[in-house]
This record gives sequence, C-alpha cells and structure tokens, in this order.
Amino acid sequence: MAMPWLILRSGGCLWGVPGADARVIRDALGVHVLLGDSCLHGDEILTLDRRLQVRPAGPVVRSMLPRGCSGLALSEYGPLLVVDPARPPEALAKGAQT
Amino acid sequence: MISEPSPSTAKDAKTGKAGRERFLLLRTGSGLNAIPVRRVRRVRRNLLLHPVPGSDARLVGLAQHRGEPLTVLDLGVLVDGDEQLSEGQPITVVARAGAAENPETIGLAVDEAVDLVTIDEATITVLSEGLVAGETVVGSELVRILDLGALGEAP
Repeated sequence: MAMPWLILRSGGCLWGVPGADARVIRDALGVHVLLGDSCLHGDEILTLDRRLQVRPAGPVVRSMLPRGCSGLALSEYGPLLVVDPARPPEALAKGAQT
Repeated sequence: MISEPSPSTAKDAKTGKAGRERFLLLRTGSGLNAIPVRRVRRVRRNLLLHPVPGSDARLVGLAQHRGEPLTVLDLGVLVDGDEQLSEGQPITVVARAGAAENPETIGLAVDEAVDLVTIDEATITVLSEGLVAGETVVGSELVRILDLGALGEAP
C-alpha cells in the first residue's frame, strides 16, 4: 500500500507530511504533528492522501524552497510543499504565520 | 501583449541564421529582460498563486500548471537581488531552467510579457554574472540577456 501523506494547512500554505510514523494531536490552538523529534504546528489536517504523487525538487527548485522541503505535489486542495521528515521547515516547527 | 507561444514554437526558437536567436522580452520593476524562446513553455495570465510562509523574496508562491505543481519565482528579485520593485505581477512565464540536459519547469512572475524579438549575438555584451549573461539594446532600451541555465548553480 502506498505511503499515506497528511495534508496539513498551516499559515495559508499546504504541506505534505509523511504520515506513516506521524502522530497527530489536536487542541484549541490547532493541530500538532509529532514527527520523529519534531513537532509541527498547523491549523488543520485536511485529509490523509495515499495517492499523492510527490515531485522531488531538482537543484533549481530546491534552492528556492524553504529549508526542510524536499519537493512539491499537487493535492485535491492545491499545490503543496513536501516536508523532509529529517529536517522539517522552521516555518512549521514554529507554527507558520499568515 | 504577445500571444502565448506554443510548445512547438519554443522548439523552433532558433531562427536558423547563425548567431541569431529568438527571445521573449519580459518587463520587471527595474527594466527589460530577455530569455531565449527555446526555454519558454507558456505565458499565463493571473495564475492563482499560493504564498509560502518562511520563504525568501525570490519565491512568489506555488501554483498549478497542466496538472503539475509549479514553483513561481519573482524574476525581478532574481535579477536585482533582494530588491522587490513590484508586487502582484499579473504574468507568469512557464519556463525551463537549470541544466539543458535536465531542465526543471518553473514559473517566472513578471509585470509584462512585452514582445518576441530576434537578437543578433554579435550585439550582446557578455557579462556572465550568474543569471545575467549579457546586455544589449532593443529599440532604445537596455535589455538584460538572462541565462536560465545558471539558476540552481552554486554561487
């Protein structure tokens, strides 16, 4: 079975978070995704997507994306950034601001 | 405003005359820029953009083009450094950047796609300053010749 991806909305942007080893906690502040040693913060989980087709970023795109993003994908909710689980983006770890 | 160049047009970018090539002229906040038509896939107007928090000024946002995610960059910021001279550019040029043998599709946000022109290489002053490969004059305006192959290279 294909790997599940959590589609997380945070700071007005969509993020694809590898969902296999993630734990989701919801509270009044939003959702928190525990991923390894990191805790990612967002507004809501939109869906769990098993059919997400990830496009790894090449050198050009990677040099422009925030650190911690390994690629792009197009979900039913729109284009998103794929989170590198080994080093998640600071914007998510701190809680993205709109 | 020019019409959208088709993929077949992009493939036929070379004029066939030695030392002459077709370019798409693009206006950004600081002036005119030219990219080879062979690098251009499509010109889109009012593409829906999704901003990315925590990104630097070069990244305008994400969009979708023909069923694929697209990274849209601010061409003015790419050329001029951190100086952001215009916002809300209505035109996105879908282009191929990076190494010719393994190009990546990106979007370039600009103020205006001005014209298609043929430029004689002999009229270009070579600069080789990263993205800006040279300069020339079209009409009475200075035009920067951009090398999209330089994007993504280590500084």
